[in-house]
Amino acid sequence: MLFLLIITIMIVAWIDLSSIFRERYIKEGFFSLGFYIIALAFSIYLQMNGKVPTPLKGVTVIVKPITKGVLSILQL
Amino acid sequence: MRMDEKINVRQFTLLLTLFTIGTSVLITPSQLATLAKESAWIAASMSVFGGLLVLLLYLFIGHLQPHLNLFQHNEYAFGKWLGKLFTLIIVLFSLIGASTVLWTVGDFVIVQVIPETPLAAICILFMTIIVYGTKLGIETIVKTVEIFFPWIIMLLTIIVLFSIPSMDIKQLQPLWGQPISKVVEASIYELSISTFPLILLFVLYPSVLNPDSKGTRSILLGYLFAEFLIMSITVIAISVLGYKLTSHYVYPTYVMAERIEFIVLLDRLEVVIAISWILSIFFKLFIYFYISLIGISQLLGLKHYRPVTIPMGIIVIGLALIIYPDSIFAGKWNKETWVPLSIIIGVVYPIVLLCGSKIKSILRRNHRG
Repeated sequence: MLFLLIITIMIVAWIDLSSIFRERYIKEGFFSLGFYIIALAFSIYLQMNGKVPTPLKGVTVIVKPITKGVLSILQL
Repeated sequence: MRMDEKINVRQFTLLLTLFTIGTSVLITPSQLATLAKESAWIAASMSVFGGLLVLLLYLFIGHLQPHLNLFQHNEYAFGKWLGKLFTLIIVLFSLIGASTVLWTVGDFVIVQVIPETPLAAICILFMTIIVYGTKLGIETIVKTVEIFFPWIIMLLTIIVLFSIPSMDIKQLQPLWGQPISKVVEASIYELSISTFPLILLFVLYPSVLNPDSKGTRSILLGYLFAEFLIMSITVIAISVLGYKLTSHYVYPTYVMAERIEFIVLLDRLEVVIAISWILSIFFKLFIYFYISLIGISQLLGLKHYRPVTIPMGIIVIGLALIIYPDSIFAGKWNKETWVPLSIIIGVVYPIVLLCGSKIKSILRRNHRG
């Protein structure tokens, strides 16, 4: 499964990047390459780790104190 | 970034209506019934007025700098770096929105239609269409909206009409059985799902519209229509199932549709709601994804968003697989974190932007004078 995932992403990236560079979008091509590397690394990480913590916990850590602060100001 | 695509106000209104209906039709009745019990329909009606005020605020902000999109407006109002920080926050919000909506589609299909299918398979299939649509651009998508809009509305209307015989008005009583604070809380929850995320659609307003198209009134009417539909479905769900069952199910509208039996000809109508809902959620997910790409291109100074579409699509699929561990977490997170988060993005941020933009305009005028 992991092998299939890596091969699929690499083939898609190869086709997509060749068309971007052919149209002379050099800067866009490099950024796209960067995002492909992030996507590939993320997919491999997800495949290799069974239980990945949700990123929403990080959002909660930021939002919760703001909510508490506002509610205490409003005395609700 | 170039915004070389243009749509007209009618297409924008249709997109807004479907974005508002989006996930709300299926998910909101359950949470409204949990919070406001039999008064859930009052909460849904109250949210229409609050939503209209918020929409007027978005329209007003759009008209302050009509030639700029919201991300460019950020940089105009707050300067380059602070503006980029605001843009980054909006991009992260839309990425969270995209992955949660994608997870919801997957969960709904697995729970209600095809159990034992892996979540990844549904997410990959659905996101492939989104990525393809995004590559083709917003002009193509709004033409698709024009084709599908009558079908979505017709299918939802069928559900509403055929559920009327099963309604029991007693289920809506007592009229004010819940304290006003609970009703307001439920109303804010409804707004956080249907209205506050509309700020993402207003990133494009009015810079993506044809210069000759004007129609604030039609946009407001489109929004009112969507809210009316959400309200009707909430009323019907509670009067058919009762508030206890409505709050018990994650997707009560689907369960309500399962109960429809019209003569012998029409049976198993629940798939109808599944089709119309999946179609409307497609456009909601498209907006979330498209806005995140526009924001990324603006942040990185790219000429076009298309080169980053496919890798970002892969990242959103990955995020959707881990975003919610289960539906219990999803419900809790939506209630505790999504509501304040969407208030920050959908109400506080536009007010800050409005003040920033006004101050900047005054400073510029004084500088010129």
